[in-house]
Amino acid sequence: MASVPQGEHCDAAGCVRLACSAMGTRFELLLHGADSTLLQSVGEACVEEILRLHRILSPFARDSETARVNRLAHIRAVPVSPDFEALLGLCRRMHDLTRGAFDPTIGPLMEAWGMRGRTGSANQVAAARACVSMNLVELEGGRVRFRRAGVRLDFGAIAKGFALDRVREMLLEEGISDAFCHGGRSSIVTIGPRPWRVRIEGGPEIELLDQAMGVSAIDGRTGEVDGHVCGHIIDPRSRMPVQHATMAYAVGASCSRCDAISTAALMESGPHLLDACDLVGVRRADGTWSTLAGQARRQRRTA
Amino acid sequence: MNEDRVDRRRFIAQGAGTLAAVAIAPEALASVTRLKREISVGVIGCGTQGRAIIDELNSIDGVRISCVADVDGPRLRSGLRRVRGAEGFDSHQALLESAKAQAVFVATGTPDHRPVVVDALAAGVDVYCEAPLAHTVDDALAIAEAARNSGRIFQAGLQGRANPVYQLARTFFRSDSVRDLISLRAQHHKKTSWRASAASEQRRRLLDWRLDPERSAGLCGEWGSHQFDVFHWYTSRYPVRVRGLGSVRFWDDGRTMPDTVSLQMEFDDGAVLSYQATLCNSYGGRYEVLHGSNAAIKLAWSHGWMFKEADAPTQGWEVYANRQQFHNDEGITLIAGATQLAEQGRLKEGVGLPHSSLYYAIEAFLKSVTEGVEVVCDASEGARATIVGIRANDAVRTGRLIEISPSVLRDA
Repeated sequence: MASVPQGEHCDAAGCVRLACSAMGTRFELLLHGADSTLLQSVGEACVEEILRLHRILSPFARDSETARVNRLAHIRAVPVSPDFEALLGLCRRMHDLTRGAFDPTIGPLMEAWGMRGRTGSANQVAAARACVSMNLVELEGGRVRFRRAGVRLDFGAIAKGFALDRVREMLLEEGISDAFCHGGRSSIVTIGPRPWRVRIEGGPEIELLDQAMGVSAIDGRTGEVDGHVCGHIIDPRSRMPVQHATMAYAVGASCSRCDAISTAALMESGPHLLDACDLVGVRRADGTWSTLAGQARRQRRTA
Repeated sequence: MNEDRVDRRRFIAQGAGTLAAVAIAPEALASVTRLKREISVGVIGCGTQGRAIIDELNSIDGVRISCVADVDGPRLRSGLRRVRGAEGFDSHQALLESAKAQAVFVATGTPDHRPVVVDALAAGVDVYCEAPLAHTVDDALAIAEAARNSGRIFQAGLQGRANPVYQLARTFFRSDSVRDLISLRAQHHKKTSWRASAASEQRRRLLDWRLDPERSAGLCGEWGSHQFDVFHWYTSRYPVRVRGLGSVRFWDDGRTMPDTVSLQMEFDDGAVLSYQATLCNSYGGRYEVLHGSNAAIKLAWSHGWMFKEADAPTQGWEVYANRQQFHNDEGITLIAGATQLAEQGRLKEGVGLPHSSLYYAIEAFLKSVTEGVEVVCDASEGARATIVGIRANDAVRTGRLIEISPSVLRDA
C-alpha cells in the first residue's frame, strides 16, 4: 500500500521499533526520543491497547465484542463498551458524510460473493443484499440492536485507523514527540517536528507532518460476481463491486476518518469528503490520478 | 487440604453420568450474562488489569460501574474514559467512603492489595481481588484471615477455576482419562519489558513495582501463581519443595529482578512440575501440561487438548472429537458441550471460548454476589497459590532449595 520509512528516521540511535499482529495485519511503531526505556514502555502500552481493541473489534475472533454483537443483536439489545459505542457512532457519521459510500454492514455481502472464502448461492447473495444498511443498526443507551437477522458489523475498513488514533493519543500523553506508526501499511499516523515521507504504491510520495493517512485499494482479496473476478470493495449503495477506481488515499488529522474517506473515495467524489480530511487522491481504472485538496491542507502548505 | 481428593476408581464408576452433568451447553457459553438482580460495582486500580476488568464488566447485563479509583491521575482518567457515568476517586478509601459500590474489584499493584482488601471488607462490600493476592506470605495470610472473618464474599482472581475449558479438562483428568500422573509442565513466555509507561521518575517508582524485589514476587509470583493453582486444583496437592534459577538475560536496563526463571517443584508423591517464564521471548506463549500414563492434557486458557497414548482405552466420547495436528502428535480438542454441538454438526464452532478467561471469572463472582452461587476460588485457595509463588521466587532469589511448609498452607 504505502512504503514504510527507512533510513535516517528509523535506523538512528534513539529509535525503538515495536510490532504486533492484530486485526489481520501487522502493526509497527517507530518511536524516537532520548529515553529508550520510556519509549519501550510507552510503545508496549500502545501495543497492549492495539491488542485490546482487536479483542473488541475483530469480527473473526470468537471472543470479541463485535462477534458477540453479531451473534446476538438480532435477538435483543446487547450492551457494548464505550469504545465500541464510540466507533459505531463514528461509523454512522462517516456513513452520512460519505452519503452511504462507507458502510460497516457490508460484511455479509462480501462473504456471499466469496471475498472471505467460498462463493454463496444466488439466494445467499440476495439475502445478504437485504442485510446491508446502517438503517438496520440501532445504537441507544450503550446498547446495539439489529432490526433483522443476518445483519453483521465489520469494522475492517476503519478499525486500524481507530486503533492508531488511540495510539497517537497515548504517545502524546506520555510526551513522545516523534513517531511513525502504521497498520498493514494502509493506515498511518505520524507525530513530529519533521515530515515523514511515504510513497503510495504506483503513486505519489506524500509528506506527513503530524498527520494521518488511510489508503484503500480494490486488489488483494477478490471475489466472484456474476462469473467475473472482482476486487473486494463493494459500493454499499449499488451493492456491486467498485470498478472505476483502483486505489485511493486520504490525509488528515484523524486516521480513522482517513480510513473511512479513502474507502469512500473509491466510489464517491466531491468536496464533501474534505469535511473529514485535508487531501484525497484517487487512482482511476485507467491508471491516472486525481486529487482533491482542502482548505486546511492549502493553509498548511503556505504556512 | 486434600478433603476433596477423589478416589480414582470410585470416580470412574460414576464416569459417564458425571461428564454429562458437567457438560455446559454451548449456547450458554456464547451468550451474554444477564444478572438476576442489578448490582453497582467499583474498580480500584485502573492499570492494564483494571481496564481489562472494566471492558468485561461493560459487556455484562445488570452491572453498573458506579465508581473507579486510582492513586495515579493519568490511570484514573484512562479508567474513567472507559466507563459511562462513573465517579472517579484518587484513593480506595475515598471510593469506599462514598458507599457507591456493593462490590469492588481490586486491581491495584500486588503490594497494595492487603490494605485495600482489608478496608473494603471492613466497609462491608464483597471483594474480587486479582491474583497473586500479595507479595509476602504475611500479607497473603492476613488477606485470607480478613476474608474468612468478614462474612463477605471474596473471590481470588485465579481465572483457571472459572474457565469452562479448564473445568471440562478437569473432569477428564479426574475421571481417569489421564490415569497415573507422571509429571507436570508449564510455561509463560511473553516478550515485554514489564515496565509501566511513565515519563516522570516519580511515576516510574510508583508504577514499576513489579521490577522492585522489595515489592514483588517476580515472575514466579505474578505469573506463576496463576498456573501453579491449576495444578493444585486438578491434583488437590501442593508442592513441598522448590528449586529455581533466574537471571537478567535480555532487559539490560538496570533491573535486578530476573527476566527469565526456571523452576523444579516437587510434590509429596514424587511428581515434579517444571516451570519456565521469560520476558524475552514469546514462543509457545502460556500453557500447562499434565502428563499421564494414558494421555497428556495441554491447557492454553482459551483452548485445551488431550493427546492420548496409542495403548489408552477408547472411551466413547472420542467419536465426537475435533482433532488438531501438532507436528507428530494429534490432539483431541476439548470442547465444552461437544456432544450437543456434534449432533448439530457444529462441532468446530465450539473450538476456543466465546469470552475471555477473565470474563468467566468476573461472571462467577457476580453470580456469587447476586445469586449466592458458590465462590469458585476463595481466599484460602488464593493465598495458597500466592504463597507457592512467593516461595518459588525465594528459590530463584537465593538459589537454594526452599521447603514449602504444609502447615503454612494449612493456615491460609
